[in-house]
Amino acid sequence: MSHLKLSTAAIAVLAVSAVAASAQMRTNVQVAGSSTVLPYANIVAEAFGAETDFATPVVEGGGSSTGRRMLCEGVGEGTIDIANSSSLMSATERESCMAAGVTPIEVRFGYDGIVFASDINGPSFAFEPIHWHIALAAEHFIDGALVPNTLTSWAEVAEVAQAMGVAGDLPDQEINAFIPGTNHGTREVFDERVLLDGCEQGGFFDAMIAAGVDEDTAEEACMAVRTDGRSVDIEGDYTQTLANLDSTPTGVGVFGLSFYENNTDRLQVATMSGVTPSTETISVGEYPVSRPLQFYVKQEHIGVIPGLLEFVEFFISDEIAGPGGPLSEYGLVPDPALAETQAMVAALR
Amino acid sequence: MSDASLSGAKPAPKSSLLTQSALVRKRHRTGATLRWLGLGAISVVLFFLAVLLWSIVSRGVPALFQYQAQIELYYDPAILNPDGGPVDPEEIGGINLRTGFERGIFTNSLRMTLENAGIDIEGTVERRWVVEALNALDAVGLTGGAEVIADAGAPGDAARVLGQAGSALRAAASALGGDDVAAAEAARDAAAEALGTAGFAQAAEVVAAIDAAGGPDAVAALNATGYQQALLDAAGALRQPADFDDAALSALIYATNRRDVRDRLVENPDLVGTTESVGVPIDIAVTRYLSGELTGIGTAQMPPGFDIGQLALVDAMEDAGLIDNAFRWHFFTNPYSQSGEIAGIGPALMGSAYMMLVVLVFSLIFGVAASIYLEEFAPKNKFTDFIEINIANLAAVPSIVFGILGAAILFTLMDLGFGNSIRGTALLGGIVLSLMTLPTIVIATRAALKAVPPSIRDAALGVGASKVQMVFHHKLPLAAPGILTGTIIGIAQALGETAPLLLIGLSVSTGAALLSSPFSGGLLEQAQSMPTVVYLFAQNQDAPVREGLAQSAILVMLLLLFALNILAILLRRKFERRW
Repeated sequence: MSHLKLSTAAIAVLAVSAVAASAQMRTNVQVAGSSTVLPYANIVAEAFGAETDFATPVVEGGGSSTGRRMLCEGVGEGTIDIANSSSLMSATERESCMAAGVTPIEVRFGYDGIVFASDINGPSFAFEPIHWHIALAAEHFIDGALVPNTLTSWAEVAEVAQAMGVAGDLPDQEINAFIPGTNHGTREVFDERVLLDGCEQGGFFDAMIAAGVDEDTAEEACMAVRTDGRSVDIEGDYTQTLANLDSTPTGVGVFGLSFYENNTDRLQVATMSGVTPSTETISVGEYPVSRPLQFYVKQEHIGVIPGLLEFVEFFISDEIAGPGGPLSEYGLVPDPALAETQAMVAALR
Repeated sequence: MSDASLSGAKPAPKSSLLTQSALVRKRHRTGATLRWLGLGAISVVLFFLAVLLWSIVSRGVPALFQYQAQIELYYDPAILNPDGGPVDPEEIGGINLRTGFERGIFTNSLRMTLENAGIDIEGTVERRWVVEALNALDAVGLTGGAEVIADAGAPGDAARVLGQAGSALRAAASALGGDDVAAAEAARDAAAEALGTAGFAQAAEVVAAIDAAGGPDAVAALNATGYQQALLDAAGALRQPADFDDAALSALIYATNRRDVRDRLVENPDLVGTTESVGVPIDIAVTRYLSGELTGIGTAQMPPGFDIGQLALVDAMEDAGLIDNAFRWHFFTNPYSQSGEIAGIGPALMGSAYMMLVVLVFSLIFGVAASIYLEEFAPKNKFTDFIEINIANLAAVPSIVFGILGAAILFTLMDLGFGNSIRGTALLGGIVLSLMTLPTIVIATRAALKAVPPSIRDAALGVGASKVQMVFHHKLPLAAPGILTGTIIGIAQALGETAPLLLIGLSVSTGAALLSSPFSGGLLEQAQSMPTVVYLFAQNQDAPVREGLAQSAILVMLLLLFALNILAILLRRKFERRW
């Protein structure tokens, strides 16, 4: 009996405390989005909480598009303040965002390299974008028609590329590619900077245009990935790609530069167009496959949520996002135009 | 009838109880097979359980210990006030944690500690790289490398000498591949000369080998010596010591975000200028070298982001007794962090505990109330049958569905004016997990109530007790052990549930602190939970976190689950009544 009274009392207290607390103002910045940006956001949030007297921002993953969707839900304490994103917001997304009364401000804080890595004990690879198009395309455009892709080894891929006039040998190893799933921002970059570029490099694209195919269809054909199991979409994050490489040592996986740099004991990196990916080669633009990392700040929340603008300024300060800062130590490629971003954010004050 | 069948039967063959007939043997055989199959099944299950436990314990337990460097921390006034002069206590609070403390006080103190222990920092690094260069040269049979390097003076100069020799050989190889005979011979001589200038005795051999092979084979002969690559490798190694700087030194320890040290100085400004001995965590990648997981030889065995020069310093520190391996107490109090050195499960443990509290309160009250109604008061009709079936169905609903339901609750509550405060709180997590646990508890409670003999109920009603009295005075107390057992098992199940929590904001990686008391709003603070933190650990890109701390966190969670299950068994044993 007393047990029952006690529990009833406890529920009452819970309810009261709930109502009491709900009247309070939110004092922390809330961030959600890309799993690629997540480690960087964590590092900055931890440092921000330690360095300043503001509460440590709440950072959550969920993926780029989920983060942007949450940001664009509307204005108010119940919505997040910052969406991390490894891909850019589309025009339609921005429109729907504005329709909900949200003005997203894009803040770029650095670049991320996309690297191709294989098991450290296997042979090394030197890729050209065309190799990836030939290896992974669902269909090849040969002699005026689309022919299903039946290649099974990288050596065959290199032969086809040589026939197209692109030199370079690849090891005689089965094609087992682990590429990011379509839910990743990374995939977009992979599609455009690797598959599409490779398609153009080999002249497939021009051949299709010349054969009277319209541009959109040609692009789609270039980026369509084979579905016979040679290429596996990884919906999870890079740890899952690594686990797949562990079980399939003949595979080649797509990783972020920082992930590779923190796992050099398990992975060896392939060159792309003759350039080894590194912070330096990416920052000067030599390494072809990189993408900007950014977050979107909700303008309406600046000045309303305490510490929001300070957090943004802290994030893109030279000590954090600049060369030699904790983010570049972790694997971020610093943005050469960071000063411009800083000026843009300073103007928001 | 039986007589007829008996008389019609053939006389039974003589059998003895002592000798086994074929039929009996077959029966025994079947029995034995069944027994072995059962034993085999159990062995297989136990084997997998053992593998699972071993993989968790063997990684999780060592990860609970942390290598740390014993450093004499000197609160240097020169760093605390770079302009010189006395340190203003008011200004200490504004000193940047990275430049002032991590790269300032901690790095300088590390340097000082090493020097006091008799370690020549730059010398140790340089000697290791020289050894590396010599190994490269020796591997291809280039003898006398030690003298060459010693004669050149500084390693940087030696690197230039070796680099020139290597480049000359490479130029020779490409010229020999060409058609121009004169150029090829000049290149050959230039290469021999470069080797000779560097001080290697092999110059003449190279010339001889090239001449002997002649023509296109000369390139192969030159390449076969491996001199060219070895010289360039050695030159690369010798260039490394010059790159060793404070950043490379401070990378060995983890001293990021040391707000605690700054706050201590703000509170006790008298400490400025004094020295304290503190344990500072060693970088988590280096711990893999210290634990012997990586040997430090070759890229595949090198802690990511480090080189052999730094590892040589680690060796020196270990020899000087500056490194010890201490229990990671802060693992149980610190929040999750991207950095494995300081990451912990404190808020997650608390968040899970609070959620279990909410689950206990909600699901016990609603579960028991629903069961009593269904058992004692509800009419037996199609409607209650429908409810019963659906309770059973609810128990089979995948947990992720409850997460989506939770998100729906979230939005409803937001509309009601709760604001964002409920997202990511232990209260919301608890409510969602309660919904999930409720069917389990209802089923267990109804079974426990059913198990109380009807005689108790009849006797109570017979002596004039009301239905309420009968239930609360007689049936419920007798069914309590069963209800408690069911509840504990339900809670244990809820403790490990991850999927629903991912959808309602409990998988945050930062921003969750140790919660305050549940009665002063702790239930409405940003919480973490054990399973989602395990998920975060398992996703971390540092292998020691992914393959160490994740297992430690799992270990803690498993111990909690075992404790809950043992509690359930003990309660059952103690209070169980057989009728």
